[in-house]
Amino acid sequence: MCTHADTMWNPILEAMDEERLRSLQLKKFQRILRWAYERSPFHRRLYREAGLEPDDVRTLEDVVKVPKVEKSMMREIQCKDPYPYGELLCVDLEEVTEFRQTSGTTGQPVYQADTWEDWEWWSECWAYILFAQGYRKRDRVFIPFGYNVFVAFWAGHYGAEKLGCEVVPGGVLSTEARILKMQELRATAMMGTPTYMLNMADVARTKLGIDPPKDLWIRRITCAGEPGASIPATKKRIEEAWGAKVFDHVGATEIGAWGYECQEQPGGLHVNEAMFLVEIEDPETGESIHEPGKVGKMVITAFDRMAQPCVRFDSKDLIMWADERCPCGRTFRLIKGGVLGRVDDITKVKGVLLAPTAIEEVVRSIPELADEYEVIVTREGDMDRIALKVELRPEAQGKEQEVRGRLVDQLRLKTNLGYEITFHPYGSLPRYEGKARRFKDLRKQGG
Amino acid sequence: MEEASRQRRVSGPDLEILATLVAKIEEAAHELVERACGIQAIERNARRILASSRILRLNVCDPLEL
Repeated sequence: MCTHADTMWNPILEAMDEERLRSLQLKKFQRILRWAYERSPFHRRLYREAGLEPDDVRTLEDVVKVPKVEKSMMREIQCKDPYPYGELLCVDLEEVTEFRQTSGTTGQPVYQADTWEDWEWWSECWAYILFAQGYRKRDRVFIPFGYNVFVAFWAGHYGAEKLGCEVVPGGVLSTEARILKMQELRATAMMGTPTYMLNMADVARTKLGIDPPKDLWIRRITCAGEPGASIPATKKRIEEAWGAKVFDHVGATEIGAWGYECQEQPGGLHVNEAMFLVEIEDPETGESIHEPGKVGKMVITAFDRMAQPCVRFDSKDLIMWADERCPCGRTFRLIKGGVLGRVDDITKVKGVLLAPTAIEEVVRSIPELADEYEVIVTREGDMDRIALKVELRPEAQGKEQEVRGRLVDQLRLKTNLGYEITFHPYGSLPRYEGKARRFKDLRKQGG
Repeated sequence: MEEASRQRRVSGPDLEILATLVAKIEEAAHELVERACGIQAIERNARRILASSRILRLNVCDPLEL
């Protein structure tokens, strides 16, 4: 067998030497830039207003000359002709075969058009992910997710199918029914949000009397939609709850599935650099960050998505390059710790910059606490107040004072803030299937 | 023959040959579309082959040609 063919979906690209990889990225960037310029009135206008022609990009350093696209710009031009995509569309409307939309977490959802070619590309990107995480033909993959207008897990479904796995769509079933179906079919792998993976394990134990590591066959879980699988305390919780290896992957509706954790799990995610160009820039100055270890905002290009191209999309995701290479042999660079947060998630509370992922890391590292929690920020007069609601696990009842002390200390250490902590009955805080909304900043609503 | 096969496995595939084969698939699919006389069962399935062969192009031909 060709070197790496047993661990890489396509070693031709994944183990390509770095010089050739950068050269390939430049050519592919030039190709998609020209495509967008020639086919999309939106892109053409954007570039002409900046005085840029496609031929002006001659090196990878020139890429920064290309104006960035923000989600707000996409919202403004959609719902016009060609309806509903507007002037972003680069193909005839009749070539579009797939509709998806963003979740609308940050505002009006953005519509996304894909052709058959794009949809093959989506599933191909997922094939890179799943093969790297050890999925093989023998796997029976259960997808416990309500498939709908969101892209989540549709592409994972078709990526798994491309690998030759047997895919079980666990769409419109209750959590209990999904668990029982997984047990009945002896499913070996599944995909979901970290929140829902924890929720399912809890339901299995408390409502069905099923202990997932002993009574089910799940040995591999791929997470998406939230950063949890790259937060060590959350990853550990899911792994223990299921007796399975947990892998992270990152993607977005308007981008594609651009990064993945491999079986070596080096503490970061590989960027699929054959399909995407990831740039990191300083959120304050806008200057490019090339050195490892420095957090910045991701600007990303999908090289091969044609109907509605993603060229220098300002993702607002915060990432940083790792300074080490992965022992797996991939030359695709690693981002350390996955997606670390979002520019618009980081907020100032009592004058201190706070990343919600830091609270998750603390809560999930205390074994007596249940998986769910909620953070509410309000303002009284000129004073910010931050409240944290938590639950004790049933077996930890009576340990409230002890846990409270550890929680206060750890939160002070990790976030430099004091919280109003309240304990709630086990099972009373909201449970989620999709993206959880645990951090509620009510100050903008006058709260 | 076995030795040649073993060598191929060790050294990796010959990208030029693979790219030629991908081009042949695309040529045949395009010809199917042209000769379909409007029969959708031929035309659309040939188009679907082209959507898949494009991925082979990304995986095999781009690293060779770009």
